[in-house]
Amino acid sequence: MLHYAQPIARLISELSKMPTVGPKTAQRLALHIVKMSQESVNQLISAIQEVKEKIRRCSLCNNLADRDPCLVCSDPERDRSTVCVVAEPKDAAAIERSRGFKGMYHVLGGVLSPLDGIGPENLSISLLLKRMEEGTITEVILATNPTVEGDATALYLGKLLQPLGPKVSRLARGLPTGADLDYADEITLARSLEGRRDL
Amino acid sequence: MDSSSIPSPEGWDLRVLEVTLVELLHLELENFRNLSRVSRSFPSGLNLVTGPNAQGKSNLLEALFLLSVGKSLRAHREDDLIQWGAPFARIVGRTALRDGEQTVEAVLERGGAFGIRKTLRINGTHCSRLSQFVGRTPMVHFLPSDLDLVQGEPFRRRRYLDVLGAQLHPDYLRELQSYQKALRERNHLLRTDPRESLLQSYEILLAESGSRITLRRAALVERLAPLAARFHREFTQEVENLRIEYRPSIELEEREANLLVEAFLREFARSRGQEIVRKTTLTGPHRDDLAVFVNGKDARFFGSQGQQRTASISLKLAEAGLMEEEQGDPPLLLLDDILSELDRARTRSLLAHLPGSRQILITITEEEKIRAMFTGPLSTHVIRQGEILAC
Ligand SMILES: Nc1ncnc2c1ncn2[C@@H]1O[C@H](COP(=O)(O)OP(=O)(O)OP(=O)(O)O)[C@@H](O)[C@H]1O
Ligand SMILES: [Mg+2]
Ligand SMILES: [Zn+2]
Repeated sequence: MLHYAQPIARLISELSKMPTVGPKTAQRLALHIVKMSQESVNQLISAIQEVKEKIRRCSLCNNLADRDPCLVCSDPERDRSTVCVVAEPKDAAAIERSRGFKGMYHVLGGVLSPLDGIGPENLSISLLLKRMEEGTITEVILATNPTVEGDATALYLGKLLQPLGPKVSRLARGLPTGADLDYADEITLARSLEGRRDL
Repeated sequence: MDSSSIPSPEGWDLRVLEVTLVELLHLELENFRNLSRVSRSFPSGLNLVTGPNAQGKSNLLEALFLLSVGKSLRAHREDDLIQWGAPFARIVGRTALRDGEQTVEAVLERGGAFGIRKTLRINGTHCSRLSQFVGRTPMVHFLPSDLDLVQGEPFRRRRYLDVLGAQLHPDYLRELQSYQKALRERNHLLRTDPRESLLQSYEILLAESGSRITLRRAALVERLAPLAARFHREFTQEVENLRIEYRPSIELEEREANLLVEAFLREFARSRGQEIVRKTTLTGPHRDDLAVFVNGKDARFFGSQGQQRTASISLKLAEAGLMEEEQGDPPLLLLDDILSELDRARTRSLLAHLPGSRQILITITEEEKIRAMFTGPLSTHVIRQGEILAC
């Protein structure tokens, strides 16, 4: 970005480090920020700072939260016997939006992907096993995306969990192959939660 | 296209795509290899693409076939398809369907994480997945290297089955893609982290996906066999008998998917130790082959070069024949340089059997060779230095 004043070039370079933001988008965002009012800029800065200060991992379910345990984990109304295992916080959010699920979550923080160097150790699996040991969980729903990575992760967890006794099921494939959970519309998602099948 | 029909282990979505090509009407090219700018209509029947060597004849057919499967079977790297020094290449085809017309478009741009970005569109709608694009414009591409289909390595014959399978059933392509992904993951684990619990997760995926591919290929070969046999008899004036047999990586006694999955799993369990030593997966569709017999003898090992090449042509014609049987319309035939390899009798006989296809593009350096033998409607497109001359 040689053609911009140094502070703008710096902002463009920072923004283009974001996922899905290419150099063109970064440029457009930066120039937009230049035009924003001081107040809006302050709000943006404080929102970013607040996220960094307040958001942490829930020590029970590994979801992102501003308190520990998180809202779901501390809600007495939720069904503690059923755990829905998802890859990322966005997947838990998508299922919450569908309002079809009243159990608990467990967020793995990724999926198995040997080619990218991601193995079981990189996922929050030991925390899940610790929760299983407490004995209140009787059903586990594996809700990873129906991709090769998501399926391999579900199969791996299924083998690990089954000897511990709970009913283990996989989200029914009401979703198009290769689709992301957070792209699925809420009706499809609610339906596939109902239609889950035993592993 | 119905993207929600997920193949289940019990069955395959056997619906054939309904929209099929009836005819190519018009082709537009921009910066595709040495073809800087082409805008050309193609009538029905036989289209001769002629001109001296290295003028762009094969490139024209390659561009057309890319509209069929979204890939080139000829290029080593996709960015080779873009004209040297140009930022992008664009291919737009207008085709006549049984009811209406269809526009198929492929754009290749330099840049991005993989060095190239590809955009495929049908009637202006972006196809985010290859399986939404493939099969909408059925074609059979006969490359000079296809003359080695019978004599060459097994991967060529697997690719032959796959290109056909993918054009007939979008599920087949999706299945192949996930199979290949899972295979790469497992092979990587075999090299770097061969823990049984991890390997097994991928074995289940490979077994499920592999059994569906195996059954599909078996069904394809079953349908191809009589067609290939018939073409070959006609083609050799009843002198030669052609028989093809699917050689899957695993005994195919059971045609039921569930039992085949079990068989794959047993095979993985049996050979896992050896696979860890050899650092690669030894069973699965990636080890399949197609055996070709001429007059009862395995043509790959005992056929003369002429017999192998003739059998290769029969296989490609069977591919076109099966597409016509399944879809009701003949695919567009793209024949690159195959006539230069045949003697007069076989050329004459091939030409006599082509007109089952409504539209054919043939590249040839000396068009007189065909004109003398072919009496049907015929149009000529002369290519010089990347341009089609007006005529
Ligand atoms: N990316 C590219 N940009 C520009 N030119 C290219 C590119 N790729 C290939 N070419 C050129 O295209 C030319 C024509 O190739 P093509 O294979 O179509 O010839 P042809 O007419 O089929 O010749 P033949 O009769 O020998 O088969 C080649 O000379 C090659 O150098
Ligand atoms: Mg050529
Ligand atoms: Zn929590």
